[in-house]
Amino acid sequence: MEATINVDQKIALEAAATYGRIPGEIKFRRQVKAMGAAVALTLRAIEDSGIIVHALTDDSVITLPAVASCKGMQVTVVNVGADGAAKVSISPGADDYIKGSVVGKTGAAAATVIASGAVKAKDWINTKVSANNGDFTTLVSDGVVSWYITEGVGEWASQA
Amino acid sequence: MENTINADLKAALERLAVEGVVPGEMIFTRQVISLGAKVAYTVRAVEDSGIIILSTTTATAIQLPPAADCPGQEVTLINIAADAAASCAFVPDGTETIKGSAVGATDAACVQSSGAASATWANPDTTNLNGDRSTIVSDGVDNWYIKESVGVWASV
Repeated sequence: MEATINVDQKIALEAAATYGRIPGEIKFRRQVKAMGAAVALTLRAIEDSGIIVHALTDDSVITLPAVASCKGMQVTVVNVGADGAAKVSISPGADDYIKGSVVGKTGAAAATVIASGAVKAKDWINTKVSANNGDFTTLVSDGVVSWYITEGVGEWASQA
Repeated sequence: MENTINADLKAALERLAVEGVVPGEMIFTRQVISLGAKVAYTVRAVEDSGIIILSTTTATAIQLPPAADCPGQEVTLINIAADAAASCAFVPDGTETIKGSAVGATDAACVQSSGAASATWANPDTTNLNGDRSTIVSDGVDNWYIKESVGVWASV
C-alpha cells in the first residue's frame, strides 16, 4: 500500500537520510533496567548506552564493557535498595579505570566530595552501611581506558 | 508535485514532524573529545550540544558560542590532568555570563560563580583534582547556568 507525501516532507526526509539530521525536537526515553533479585548484570558495549540500572539487592555487581569498545557510552547506576540495605558495585574491565568524584554525605553541614582512587580494575562501590535509597553514579567512556564520573551522589568508594 | 511513499513510513514521518517522536529504540552515545596537548577548543553552537570535553593541559580555554545561538545546549568540561597539575576554564562569548555553583573541594562548601559579565569559570591548577567537572546549559539569551559541578571552580 502506498501513500503520498508533499514536497516539504520529501525534502525533510532526504535531508535526514543524507546528513543524519532530523528536523524538529527529538524526545527520548532512557532505557531503564530493574535488576530486582538479580545480583549480576553485564552491560553491552554501545547497545546499552544511556541505560539506567536500578540495583536493589545486596552485593549487586554491574559489569561494564571495555572502555575502548564504547567511546561516549553513558551508564547510570542507581541504588534502589532501602537505606543501609544494599551494597552496589560497578566493575570496570581488567584494563580500565573509574575516575572522578561524587557528592557524598546526606545531611552533612558541608558537602563532602568523594574522589575515586583511580586505580585500574577497581570497582566503584556504594557502601552498604551508608547507602541511601537513590544514591547514583553516572559514567561516560572516554574510549581509551577510563570511565569518567559525570554525576553522582552518595557514599561511594573505590575498591581497596 | 507529489511523491509516493510506503504508508508506514508516511505515518512515522508525520509523527516525527508533529510530535518529535522517532519510532523504535534509539541508542545514543555522548560526543567525547580529548584535547590532549591542545589548550583551546571552540564549542560549536548546537552541533556540539551534549559534548564532553576532556582537558589535560594547563591553561586550557573552552570558548563558548553565544548563548542565544544554542538554547538548551549542554557542555561538560572534565579536568583529567593529575591532581594540582592543570587549569582549565569555560570562556563565555563577549559579555555573557556563567552563573551557578559547584560543590567544592573535599569537605568544603559550595563555591558560587560571581555571575559577572565576561568572567570565565575556571578550575585552577593549584587545587584541581583529577576528574573535576562542570556541566553548563545555555538559557538561549545571554547566560550559561551551571547544572552540575564538582571541584574548586572560580569566576576569573
